[in-house]
Amino acid sequence: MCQGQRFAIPKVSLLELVKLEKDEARQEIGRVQGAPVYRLHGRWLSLVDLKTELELGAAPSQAAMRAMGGDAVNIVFLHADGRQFGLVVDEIISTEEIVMKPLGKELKGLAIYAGATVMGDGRVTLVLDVGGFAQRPNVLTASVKPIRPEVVA
Amino acid sequence: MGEGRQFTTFYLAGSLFGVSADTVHEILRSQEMTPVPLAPPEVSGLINLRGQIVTAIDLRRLGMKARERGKLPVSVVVRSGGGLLSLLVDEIGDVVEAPEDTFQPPPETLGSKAREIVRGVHKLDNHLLQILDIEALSCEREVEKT
Repeated sequence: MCQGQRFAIPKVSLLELVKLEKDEARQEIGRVQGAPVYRLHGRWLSLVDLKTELELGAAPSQAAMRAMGGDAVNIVFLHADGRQFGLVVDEIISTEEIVMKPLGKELKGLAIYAGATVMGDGRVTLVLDVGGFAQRPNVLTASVKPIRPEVVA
Repeated sequence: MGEGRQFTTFYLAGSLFGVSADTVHEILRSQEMTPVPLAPPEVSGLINLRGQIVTAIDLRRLGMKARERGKLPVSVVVRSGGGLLSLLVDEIGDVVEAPEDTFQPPPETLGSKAREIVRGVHKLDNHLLQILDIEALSCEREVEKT
């Protein structure tokens, strides 16, 4: 769930779900050249804010602000094409079996969506293409391997 | 020239438009819509048409000014290249039969965005009927690269 809109992520791309409470978020999210990172099982992974990436009304800096310890932070850790990253979302809803359908050719140019599905309540939900998403510039630049990131206390 | 073609007509910003009646699948009142972030601006969202996911294109966003607030569009669902496409319009008109010999290519004065999707114009007795090119509408759109 992001900015009131629901999105789906294929479970095959899912590594782990992490919820950080306000204080934890402040302590455990580090920064590398301004980009938020989180240490998952000993590896620093970059964090990407879904709201910012989809231009859902949040200023780019807001992701960082949230990660810096505004509210609790929900992170969906994903892997695609050998790369791992964390996607910051508003809320994690549930795991459901879905039947994914391709988007019409009007939307084929959008690599960040794998397709869409009709959920149980009849609403259409977009399914993110994790591989396509990882190609986005912010995700790429954030993938620079941090050696010793400064942890913001 | 008695032989004419039938067009389903509708209004957009006060002008009359039409699509070939045999491409029209159905006409719907406003539907619940799932927005598609980063899609081209004319893509209004996705609708669930009895389990089928259909892209809705707001024709007003192709070079016309935005629909007045609170005015709900009507969805004209058309068949295009094996799939369905929902065209959001202001109001539905009659089914009009237009003789072939009243057909003309789109006027030069039409805006460039409109020219891409208007195949031509039928000059009828008291009005102009602009015929939309559905294939041009459903083609792959330029997606803003960021």
